[in-house]
Amino acid sequence: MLKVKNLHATVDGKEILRGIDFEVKAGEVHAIMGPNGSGKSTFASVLAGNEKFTVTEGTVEYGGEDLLELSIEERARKGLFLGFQYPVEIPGVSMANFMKLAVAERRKAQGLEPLTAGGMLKYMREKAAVVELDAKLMSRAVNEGFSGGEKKKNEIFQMAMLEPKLAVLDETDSGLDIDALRIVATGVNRLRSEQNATVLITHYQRLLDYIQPDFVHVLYKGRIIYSGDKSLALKLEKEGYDWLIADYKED
Amino acid sequence: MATTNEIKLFGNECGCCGGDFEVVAGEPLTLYQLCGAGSHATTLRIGEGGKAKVVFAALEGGDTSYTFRVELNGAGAELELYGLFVATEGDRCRVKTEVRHNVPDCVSNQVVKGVADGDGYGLFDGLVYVAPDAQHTEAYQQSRNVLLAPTAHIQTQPQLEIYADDVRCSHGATVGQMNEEEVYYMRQRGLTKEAAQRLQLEGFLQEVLGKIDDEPTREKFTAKLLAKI
Ligand SMILES: Nc1ncnc2c1ncn2[C@@H]1O[C@H](COP(=O)(O)OP(=O)(O)O)[C@@H](O)[C@H]1O
Ligand SMILES: [Mg+2]
Repeated sequence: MLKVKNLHATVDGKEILRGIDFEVKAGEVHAIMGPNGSGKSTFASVLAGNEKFTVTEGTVEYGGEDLLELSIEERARKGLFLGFQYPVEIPGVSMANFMKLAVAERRKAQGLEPLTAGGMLKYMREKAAVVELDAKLMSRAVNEGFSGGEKKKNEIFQMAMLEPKLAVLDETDSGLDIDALRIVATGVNRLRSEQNATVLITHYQRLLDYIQPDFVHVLYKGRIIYSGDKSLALKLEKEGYDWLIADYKED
Repeated sequence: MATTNEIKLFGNECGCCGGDFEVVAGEPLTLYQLCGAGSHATTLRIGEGGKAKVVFAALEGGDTSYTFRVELNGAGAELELYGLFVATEGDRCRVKTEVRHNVPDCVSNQVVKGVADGDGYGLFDGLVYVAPDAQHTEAYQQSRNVLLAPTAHIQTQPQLEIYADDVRCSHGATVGQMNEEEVYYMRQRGLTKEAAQRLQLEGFLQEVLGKIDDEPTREKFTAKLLAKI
Protein backbone atom coordinates (compact mmCIF):
# COMPACT_ATOMS: atom_id res chain seq x y z
CA MET A 1 0.00 0.00 0.00
CA LEU A 2 2.73 2.45 1.02
CA LYS A 3 6.39 2.15 0.08
CA VAL A 4 8.79 4.83 1.28
CA LYS A 5 12.38 4.64 0.07
CA ASN A 6 15.27 6.79 1.24
CA LEU A 7 13.04 9.77 1.92
CA HIS A 8 14.79 13.05 2.65
CA ALA A 9 12.95 16.29 3.40
CA THR A 10 13.87 19.79 4.47
CA VAL A 11 12.16 22.80 5.98
CA ASP A 12 13.72 26.24 5.48
CA GLY A 13 16.81 24.53 4.11
CA LYS A 14 17.23 22.40 7.24
CA GLU A 15 17.20 18.65 6.69
CA ILE A 16 14.70 16.94 8.98
CA LEU A 17 14.08 13.58 7.30
CA ARG A 18 17.35 11.90 6.46
CA GLY A 19 16.62 8.70 4.62
CA ILE A 20 13.43 7.00 5.77
CA ASP A 21 12.63 3.49 4.57
CA PHE A 22 9.18 2.31 5.51
CA GLU A 23 6.63 -0.07 4.10
CA VAL A 24 2.99 -0.67 5.01
CA LYS A 25 0.80 -3.43 3.61
CA ALA A 26 -2.99 -3.59 3.66
CA GLY A 27 -4.37 -4.89 6.94
CA GLU A 28 -1.37 -3.81 9.01
CA VAL A 29 -1.01 -1.49 11.97
CA HIS A 30 2.35 0.18 12.45
CA ALA A 31 3.45 2.25 15.41
CA ILE A 32 6.15 4.89 15.05
CA MET A 33 7.77 6.00 18.27
CA GLY A 34 10.74 8.18 19.08
CA PRO A 35 11.83 11.11 21.24
CA ASN A 36 10.49 14.62 20.66
CA GLY A 37 11.97 16.39 17.67
CA SER A 38 12.86 13.15 15.85
CA GLY A 39 10.83 14.05 12.78
CA LYS A 40 7.66 12.00 13.36
CA SER A 41 5.27 14.85 12.61
CA THR A 42 7.41 15.94 9.71
CA PHE A 43 7.18 12.45 8.23
CA ALA A 44 3.38 12.51 8.59
CA SER A 45 3.24 16.00 7.04
CA VAL A 46 5.35 14.97 4.08
CA LEU A 47 3.07 11.99 3.45
CA ALA A 48 0.06 14.32 3.56
CA GLY A 49 1.77 16.73 1.15
CA ASN A 50 2.25 19.74 3.46
CA GLU A 51 3.86 22.35 1.26
CA LYS A 52 6.04 23.70 4.06
CA PHE A 53 8.36 20.76 3.55
CA THR A 54 10.47 20.00 0.51
CA VAL A 55 11.30 16.46 -0.49
CA THR A 56 14.91 16.46 -1.66
CA GLU A 57 15.50 12.76 -2.24
CA GLY A 58 13.73 9.42 -2.26
CA THR A 59 10.41 8.01 -3.42
CA VAL A 60 6.98 7.32 -1.98
CA GLU A 61 4.65 4.90 -3.67
CA TYR A 62 1.02 4.74 -2.57
CA GLY A 63 -1.43 2.29 -4.11
CA GLY A 64 0.95 1.86 -7.04
CA GLU A 65 1.14 5.62 -7.70
CA ASP A 66 3.86 8.19 -7.10
CA LEU A 67 2.43 9.88 -4.01
CA LEU A 68 4.78 12.86 -4.26
CA GLU A 69 3.23 13.85 -7.60
CA LEU A 70 -0.23 14.24 -6.05
CA SER A 71 -1.68 17.38 -4.50
CA ILE A 72 -2.74 17.41 -0.86
CA GLU A 73 -6.41 16.95 -1.75
CA GLU A 74 -5.74 14.23 -4.33
CA ARG A 75 -3.96 12.23 -1.66
CA ALA A 76 -6.87 12.73 0.72
CA ARG A 77 -9.43 11.72 -1.89
CA LYS A 78 -7.46 8.58 -2.60
CA GLY A 79 -7.89 7.60 1.02
CA LEU A 80 -4.87 9.02 2.81
CA PHE A 81 -5.95 10.49 6.12
CA LEU A 82 -3.83 12.44 8.58
CA GLY A 83 -4.99 12.81 12.15
CA PHE A 84 -3.37 16.06 13.22
CA GLN A 85 -1.28 16.34 16.36
CA TYR A 86 -2.69 19.85 16.72
CA PRO A 87 -6.11 20.00 15.04
CA VAL A 88 -6.79 23.41 13.51
CA GLU A 89 -9.69 25.67 14.48
CA ILE A 90 -11.64 27.13 11.60
CA PRO A 91 -13.82 30.04 12.76
CA GLY A 92 -17.23 30.38 11.16
CA VAL A 93 -17.09 27.02 9.30
CA SER A 94 -19.48 24.50 10.81
CA MET A 95 -18.44 20.88 11.28
CA ALA A 96 -21.58 19.76 9.45
CA ASN A 97 -20.86 21.87 6.40
CA PHE A 98 -17.19 20.93 6.37
CA MET A 99 -17.95 17.21 6.61
CA LYS A 100 -20.62 17.44 3.93
CA LEU A 101 -18.06 18.82 1.48
CA ALA A 102 -15.29 16.45 2.53
CA VAL A 103 -17.48 13.33 2.38
CA ALA A 104 -18.83 14.38 -1.03
CA GLU A 105 -15.27 14.54 -2.40
CA ARG A 106 -14.27 11.23 -0.89
CA ARG A 107 -17.38 9.46 -2.15
CA LYS A 108 -16.88 10.86 -5.63
CA ALA A 109 -13.34 9.48 -5.63
CA GLN A 110 -14.66 6.11 -4.42
CA GLY A 111 -17.20 6.06 -7.23
CA LEU A 112 -20.09 6.21 -4.77
CA GLU A 113 -23.36 8.10 -5.16
CA PRO A 114 -23.57 11.35 -3.19
CA LEU A 115 -25.51 11.07 0.07
CA THR A 116 -28.85 12.80 0.40
CA ALA A 117 -29.15 15.49 3.08
CA GLY A 118 -30.98 13.06 5.33
CA GLY A 119 -28.51 10.27 4.61
CA MET A 120 -25.63 12.56 5.49
CA LEU A 121 -27.22 13.52 8.80
CA LYS A 122 -27.77 9.90 9.72
CA TYR A 123 -24.24 8.94 8.69
CA MET A 124 -22.82 11.79 10.74
CA ARG A 125 -24.81 10.79 13.86
CA GLU A 126 -23.74 7.17 13.47
CA LYS A 127 -20.05 7.99 13.27
CA ALA A 128 -20.21 10.58 16.04
CA ALA A 129 -21.70 7.88 18.28
CA VAL A 130 -18.73 5.58 17.61
CA VAL A 131 -16.33 8.07 19.22
CA GLU A 132 -18.93 9.30 21.71
CA LEU A 133 -18.68 12.78 20.26
CA ASP A 134 -21.61 15.02 21.17
CA ALA A 135 -23.65 15.44 17.97
CA LYS A 136 -24.29 19.04 19.05
CA LEU A 137 -20.70 19.81 18.10
CA MET A 138 -21.70 19.35 14.45
CA SER A 139 -23.37 22.75 14.41
CA ARG A 140 -20.32 24.42 15.92
CA ALA A 141 -17.33 25.78 14.04
CA VAL A 142 -14.60 23.22 13.31
CA ASN A 143 -12.66 22.59 16.53
CA GLU A 144 -13.52 26.03 17.87
CA GLY A 145 -14.02 25.93 21.61
CA PHE A 146 -13.60 22.13 21.60
CA SER A 147 -11.79 20.67 24.60
CA GLY A 148 -8.50 18.89 24.00
CA GLY A 149 -10.24 15.52 24.18
CA GLU A 150 -13.03 16.63 21.85
CA LYS A 151 -10.50 17.79 19.27
CA LYS A 152 -8.81 14.39 19.26
CA LYS A 153 -12.12 12.52 19.12
CA ASN A 154 -13.10 14.83 16.29
CA GLU A 155 -10.07 13.66 14.31
CA ILE A 156 -11.15 10.04 14.73
CA PHE A 157 -14.72 11.00 13.89
CA GLN A 158 -13.52 12.56 10.62
CA MET A 159 -11.46 9.48 9.93
CA ALA A 160 -14.57 7.31 10.39
CA MET A 161 -16.54 9.60 8.08
CA LEU A 162 -13.93 9.46 5.31
CA GLU A 163 -13.17 5.71 5.49
CA PRO A 164 -9.50 6.05 4.61
CA LYS A 165 -7.31 3.35 3.13
CA LEU A 166 -4.31 4.59 5.05
CA ALA A 167 -4.71 6.56 8.26
CA VAL A 168 -1.71 8.26 9.82
CA LEU A 169 -2.55 9.36 13.35
CA ASP A 170 -0.07 11.81 14.81
CA GLU A 171 -0.08 11.57 18.60
CA THR A 172 -3.83 11.30 18.74
CA ASP A 173 -3.32 9.80 22.20
CA SER A 174 -1.36 12.71 23.70
CA GLY A 175 -3.19 14.60 26.37
CA LEU A 176 -6.05 12.14 26.59
CA ASP A 177 -7.32 10.66 29.82
CA ILE A 178 -7.85 6.90 29.94
CA ASP A 179 -11.52 7.20 29.04
CA ALA A 180 -10.91 9.29 25.94
CA LEU A 181 -7.99 7.05 25.03
CA ARG A 182 -10.24 4.00 25.14
CA ILE A 183 -12.81 5.76 22.94
CA VAL A 184 -10.21 6.82 20.40
CA ALA A 185 -8.79 3.29 20.33
CA THR A 186 -12.27 1.83 19.84
CA GLY A 187 -12.74 4.10 16.84
CA VAL A 188 -9.45 2.98 15.33
CA ASN A 189 -10.11 -0.70 16.00
CA ARG A 190 -13.57 -0.53 14.44
CA LEU A 191 -12.09 0.80 11.25
CA ARG A 192 -9.44 -1.90 11.03
CA SER A 193 -9.91 -4.22 8.09
CA GLU A 194 -7.93 -6.30 5.63
CA GLN A 195 -8.22 -3.52 3.08
CA ASN A 196 -6.86 -0.62 5.06
CA ALA A 197 -3.90 0.19 7.25
CA THR A 198 -3.05 2.46 10.16
CA VAL A 199 0.13 4.21 11.19
CA LEU A 200 0.09 5.34 14.81
CA ILE A 201 2.61 7.93 15.80
CA THR A 202 2.82 7.82 19.54
CA HIS A 203 4.88 8.74 22.48
CA TYR A 204 3.53 6.27 24.91
CA GLN A 205 3.17 2.55 25.16
CA ARG A 206 -0.28 2.96 26.71
CA LEU A 207 -2.11 3.49 23.39
CA LEU A 208 -0.66 0.20 22.27
CA ASP A 209 -2.40 -1.52 25.19
CA TYR A 210 -5.62 -0.79 23.31
CA ILE A 211 -4.48 -1.05 19.72
CA GLN A 212 -2.24 -3.99 18.96
CA PRO A 213 0.35 -2.99 16.38
CA ASP A 214 1.94 -5.50 14.03
CA PHE A 215 5.18 -3.52 13.91
CA VAL A 216 6.84 -0.92 16.07
CA HIS A 217 9.48 1.44 14.66
CA VAL A 218 11.77 3.93 16.30
CA LEU A 219 12.36 7.15 14.41
CA TYR A 220 15.34 9.14 15.51
CA LYS A 221 17.02 12.13 13.90
CA GLY A 222 15.08 11.67 10.70
CA ARG A 223 15.68 7.94 10.24
CA ILE A 224 14.01 4.74 11.30
CA ILE A 225 16.79 3.27 13.37
CA TYR A 226 15.08 0.18 14.72
CA SER A 227 12.00 -1.92 14.00
CA GLY A 228 10.44 -4.78 15.92
CA ASP A 229 7.13 -6.23 17.01
CA LYS A 230 4.95 -4.95 19.80
CA SER A 231 7.32 -6.16 22.50
CA LEU A 232 9.65 -3.34 21.39
CA ALA A 233 7.15 -0.78 22.67
CA LEU A 234 7.17 -2.43 26.10
CA LYS A 235 10.94 -2.48 26.19
CA LEU A 236 11.04 1.23 25.26
CA GLU A 237 8.54 1.98 27.99
CA LYS A 238 10.72 0.26 30.59
CA GLU A 239 14.17 1.18 29.39
CA GLY A 240 13.74 4.37 27.42
CA TYR A 241 15.53 5.13 24.18
CA ASP A 242 19.07 5.44 25.48
CA TRP A 243 20.17 1.90 24.66
CA LEU A 244 19.08 2.50 21.06
CA ILE A 245 20.21 6.00 20.36
CA ALA A 246 23.61 5.95 22.02
CA ASP A 247 25.21 5.14 18.68
CA TYR A 248 23.53 8.10 16.98
CA LYS A 249 24.39 10.84 19.45
CA GLU A 250 27.25 12.19 17.38
CA ASP A 251 25.60 13.01 14.04
CA MET B 1 -46.03 46.37 23.55
CA ALA B 2 -42.66 46.71 21.91
CA THR B 3 -42.65 47.03 18.17
CA THR B 4 -39.54 46.45 16.15
CA ASN B 5 -39.00 48.71 13.22
CA GLU B 6 -37.16 46.73 10.63
CA ILE B 7 -35.84 48.80 7.78
CA LYS B 8 -34.14 47.29 4.79
CA LEU B 9 -32.19 49.37 2.35
CA PHE B 10 -31.01 47.33 -0.59
CA GLY B 11 -28.70 48.31 -3.41
CA ASN B 12 -30.96 48.32 -6.38
CA GLU B 13 -33.59 50.44 -4.76
CA CYS B 14 -31.36 53.23 -3.59
CA GLY B 15 -28.41 55.05 -5.07
CA CYS B 16 -27.64 56.65 -1.77
CA CYS B 17 -29.25 54.84 1.06
CA GLY B 18 -29.22 55.93 4.62
CA GLY B 19 -31.24 58.38 6.63
CA ASP B 20 -31.86 59.96 9.99
CA PHE B 21 -33.45 57.92 12.72
CA GLU B 22 -34.66 58.70 16.21
CA VAL B 23 -34.77 55.62 18.38
CA VAL B 24 -36.83 55.54 21.56
CA ALA B 25 -37.55 52.98 24.26
CA GLY B 26 -40.05 50.31 23.29
CA GLU B 27 -39.44 50.72 19.59
CA PRO B 28 -36.11 49.10 18.79
CA LEU B 29 -34.76 49.73 15.34
CA THR B 30 -33.13 47.15 13.11
CA LEU B 31 -31.50 48.51 10.02
CA TYR B 32 -30.14 46.31 7.23
CA GLN B 33 -28.15 48.06 4.55
CA LEU B 34 -26.92 46.30 1.44
CA CYS B 35 -26.14 49.28 -0.75
CA GLY B 36 -24.37 49.66 -4.04
CA ALA B 37 -21.69 52.13 -5.10
CA GLY B 38 -22.18 55.62 -3.70
CA SER B 39 -22.08 57.40 -0.37
CA HIS B 40 -24.46 56.21 2.28
CA ALA B 41 -24.80 58.28 5.41
CA THR B 42 -26.89 57.30 8.38
CA THR B 43 -27.51 59.15 11.60
CA LEU B 44 -28.98 57.48 14.64
CA ARG B 45 -30.04 59.31 17.77
CA ILE B 46 -30.80 56.84 20.49
CA GLY B 47 -32.72 58.05 23.53
CA GLU B 48 -33.18 56.60 26.99
CA GLY B 49 -33.70 52.83 26.81
CA GLY B 50 -33.59 52.85 23.01
CA LYS B 51 -31.98 49.99 21.10
CA ALA B 52 -30.64 50.01 17.57
CA LYS B 53 -28.99 47.29 15.54
CA VAL B 54 -27.37 47.89 12.18
CA VAL B 55 -26.00 45.30 9.79
CA PHE B 56 -24.47 46.62 6.59
CA ALA B 57 -22.40 45.27 3.75
CA ALA B 58 -20.51 46.66 0.77
CA LEU B 59 -20.55 43.87 -1.79
CA GLU B 60 -21.65 45.49 -5.02
CA GLY B 61 -18.26 46.71 -6.18
CA GLY B 62 -17.16 50.14 -7.28
CA ASP B 63 -16.69 53.05 -4.94
CA THR B 64 -18.77 52.51 -1.84
CA SER B 65 -18.75 54.49 1.33
CA TYR B 66 -20.78 54.07 4.49
CA THR B 67 -20.89 56.66 7.22
CA PHE B 68 -22.59 56.13 10.55
CA ARG B 69 -22.99 58.82 13.12
CA VAL B 70 -24.56 57.54 16.29
CA GLU B 71 -25.49 59.60 19.35
CA LEU B 72 -26.27 57.74 22.56
CA ASN B 73 -28.34 60.34 24.36
CA GLY B 74 -30.19 58.59 27.17
CA ALA B 75 -29.32 56.08 29.89
CA GLY B 76 -29.69 52.47 28.76
CA ALA B 77 -29.31 53.29 25.07
CA GLU B 78 -27.72 50.45 23.11
CA LEU B 79 -26.10 50.24 19.71
CA GLU B 80 -25.02 47.13 17.84
CA LEU B 81 -23.30 47.81 14.55
CA TYR B 82 -21.99 45.04 12.33
CA GLY B 83 -20.58 45.42 8.87
CA LEU B 84 -18.53 43.82 6.18
CA PHE B 85 -16.97 44.86 2.94
CA VAL B 86 -15.29 42.98 0.14
CA ALA B 87 -13.15 45.08 -2.18
CA THR B 88 -11.94 43.22 -5.25
CA GLU B 89 -10.14 44.55 -8.32
CA GLY B 90 -11.04 48.20 -8.90
CA ASP B 91 -13.20 48.54 -5.76
CA ARG B 92 -12.84 51.06 -2.99
CA CYS B 93 -14.77 50.60 0.22
CA ARG B 94 -14.80 53.09 3.05
CA VAL B 95 -16.48 52.70 6.39
CA LYS B 96 -16.58 55.58 8.81
CA THR B 97 -18.26 55.27 12.17
CA GLU B 98 -18.62 57.82 14.91
CA VAL B 99 -20.24 56.61 18.09
CA ARG B 100 -20.79 59.23 20.75
CA HIS B 101 -21.57 58.22 24.30
CA ASN B 102 -22.98 61.53 25.53
CA VAL B 103 -24.51 60.28 28.77
CA PRO B 104 -23.76 57.52 31.34
CA ASP B 105 -24.90 53.90 31.17
CA CYS B 106 -24.96 53.23 27.43
CA VAL B 107 -23.58 50.30 25.46
CA SER B 108 -22.12 50.15 21.98
CA ASN B 109 -20.62 47.20 20.13
CA GLN B 110 -19.11 47.46 16.66
CA VAL B 111 -17.64 44.69 14.52
CA VAL B 112 -16.53 45.54 10.99
CA LYS B 113 -14.82 42.95 8.82
CA GLY B 114 -13.05 43.72 5.58
CA VAL B 115 -11.58 41.71 2.75
CA ALA B 116 -9.49 43.06 -0.12
CA ASP B 117 -8.24 41.24 -3.19
CA GLY B 118 -6.53 42.31 -6.42
CA ASP B 119 -5.86 46.03 -6.15
CA GLY B 120 -8.93 46.51 -3.93
CA TYR B 121 -8.80 49.16 -1.23
CA GLY B 122 -10.60 49.33 2.07
CA LEU B 123 -10.71 51.82 4.91
CA PHE B 124 -12.17 51.60 8.37
CA ASP B 125 -12.22 54.82 10.31
CA GLY B 126 -13.94 54.41 13.64
CA LEU B 127 -14.26 56.95 16.40
CA VAL B 128 -15.63 56.16 19.83
CA TYR B 129 -16.24 59.24 21.96
CA VAL B 130 -17.09 59.01 25.64
CA ALA B 131 -18.16 62.33 27.22
CA PRO B 132 -16.57 63.42 30.53
CA ASP B 133 -19.51 62.40 32.68
CA ALA B 134 -20.59 59.34 30.67
CA GLN B 135 -19.68 56.88 33.45
CA HIS B 136 -20.47 53.15 33.17
CA THR B 137 -20.11 53.30 29.44
CA GLU B 138 -19.47 50.02 27.66
CA ALA B 139 -17.98 50.56 24.23
CA TYR B 140 -16.45 47.84 22.09
CA GLN B 141 -15.02 48.13 18.63
CA GLN B 142 -13.36 45.56 16.40
CA SER B 143 -11.94 46.03 12.93
CA ARG B 144 -10.74 42.75 11.41
CA ASN B 145 -9.33 42.69 7.92
CA VAL B 146 -7.86 40.20 5.53
CA LEU B 147 -5.76 40.79 2.44
CA LEU B 148 -5.92 38.15 -0.27
CA ALA B 149 -3.32 39.66 -2.59
CA PRO B 150 -0.06 41.53 -2.08
CA THR B 151 -1.45 44.44 -4.10
CA ALA B 152 -4.59 44.76 -1.96
CA HIS B 153 -4.68 47.39 0.73
CA ILE B 154 -6.73 48.02 3.86
CA GLN B 155 -6.25 50.82 6.31
CA THR B 156 -7.80 50.74 9.74
CA GLN B 157 -7.94 53.76 12.01
CA PRO B 158 -9.62 53.16 15.32
CA GLN B 159 -9.79 56.23 17.53
CA LEU B 160 -10.89 56.31 21.09
CA GLU B 161 -11.60 59.58 22.83
CA ILE B 162 -12.50 58.67 26.36
CA TYR B 163 -13.02 61.40 28.91
CA ALA B 164 -14.76 59.39 31.64
CA ASP B 165 -12.86 57.07 33.98
CA ASP B 166 -15.39 54.45 35.05
CA VAL B 167 -15.87 52.78 31.67
CA ARG B 168 -15.36 49.46 29.95
CA CYS B 169 -13.96 50.05 26.50
CA SER B 170 -11.97 47.83 24.20
CA HIS B 171 -10.96 47.93 20.62
CA GLY B 172 -8.98 45.73 18.30
CA ALA B 173 -7.76 46.28 14.80
CA THR B 174 -5.98 43.75 12.63
CA VAL B 175 -4.96 43.47 9.00
CA GLY B 176 -3.56 40.10 8.03
CA GLN B 177 -3.52 37.21 5.62
CA MET B 178 -5.67 34.12 5.66
CA ASN B 179 -4.29 31.37 7.84
CA GLU B 180 -2.62 28.74 5.65
CA GLU B 181 -2.86 26.03 8.30
CA GLU B 182 -6.65 26.11 8.00
CA VAL B 183 -6.49 25.68 4.23
CA TYR B 184 -4.04 22.80 4.61
CA TYR B 185 -6.33 21.11 7.13
CA MET B 186 -9.33 21.36 4.81
CA ARG B 187 -7.35 20.15 1.81
CA GLN B 188 -6.22 17.15 3.87
CA ARG B 189 -9.90 16.28 4.11
CA GLY B 190 -10.29 16.44 0.34
CA LEU B 191 -11.36 20.01 -0.42
CA THR B 192 -9.58 21.82 -3.24
CA LYS B 193 -7.46 24.81 -2.32
CA GLU B 194 -10.04 27.13 -3.90
CA ALA B 195 -12.96 25.52 -2.05
CA ALA B 196 -11.04 25.65 1.22
CA GLN B 197 -10.15 29.32 0.79
CA ARG B 198 -13.71 30.19 -0.07
CA LEU B 199 -15.08 28.33 2.92
CA GLN B 200 -12.56 30.02 5.15
CA LEU B 201 -13.51 33.45 3.84
CA GLU B 202 -17.21 32.73 4.32
CA GLY B 203 -16.35 31.58 7.82
CA PHE B 204 -14.53 34.80 8.54
CA LEU B 205 -17.51 36.88 7.42
CA GLN B 206 -20.05 34.57 9.04
CA GLU B 207 -19.72 36.42 12.34
CA VAL B 208 -21.33 39.43 10.71
CA LEU B 209 -23.92 37.55 8.61
CA GLY B 210 -24.91 35.59 11.70
CA LYS B 211 -26.17 38.83 13.26
CA ILE B 212 -28.98 39.05 10.71
CA ASP B 213 -32.01 37.56 12.42
CA ASP B 214 -34.36 37.92 9.48
CA GLU B 215 -33.91 34.79 7.35
CA PRO B 216 -34.71 36.22 3.88
CA THR B 217 -32.46 39.19 4.53
CA ARG B 218 -29.64 36.93 5.64
CA GLU B 219 -30.06 34.89 2.48
CA LYS B 220 -29.96 38.03 0.40
CA PHE B 221 -26.71 39.16 2.03
CA THR B 222 -25.23 35.66 1.73
CA ALA B 223 -26.12 35.36 -1.95
CA LYS B 224 -24.48 38.72 -2.65
CA LEU B 225 -21.43 37.65 -0.70
CA LEU B 226 -21.10 34.34 -2.54
CA ALA B 227 -21.44 36.11 -5.86
CA LYS B 228 -18.69 38.54 -4.84
CA ILE B 229 -16.04 36.12 -3.59
N1 LIG C 1 8.03 24.38 10.31
C1 LIG C 1 9.22 24.10 10.82
N2 LIG C 1 10.21 25.01 10.76
C2 LIG C 1 11.43 24.74 11.29
N3 LIG C 1 11.75 23.61 11.92
C3 LIG C 1 10.82 22.67 12.01
C4 LIG C 1 9.51 22.86 11.49
N4 LIG C 1 8.78 21.76 11.75
C5 LIG C 1 9.60 20.92 12.41
N5 LIG C 1 10.82 21.47 12.57
C6 LIG C 1 11.97 20.85 13.23
O1 LIG C 1 12.07 19.55 12.77
C7 LIG C 1 12.44 18.66 13.80
C8 LIG C 1 11.46 17.53 13.88
O2 LIG C 1 10.20 18.02 14.30
P1 LIG C 1 8.90 17.11 14.35
O3 LIG C 1 8.74 16.45 13.05
O4 LIG C 1 7.79 17.96 14.83
O5 LIG C 1 9.32 16.05 15.47
P2 LIG C 1 8.44 15.05 16.36
O6 LIG C 1 7.06 15.02 15.79
O7 LIG C 1 9.14 13.75 16.25
O8 LIG C 1 8.46 15.59 17.75
C9 LIG C 1 12.53 19.50 15.07
O9 LIG C 1 13.88 19.81 15.28
C10 LIG C 1 11.74 20.72 14.73
O10 LIG C 1 12.24 21.83 15.41
MG1 LIG D 1 5.20 15.52 16.62
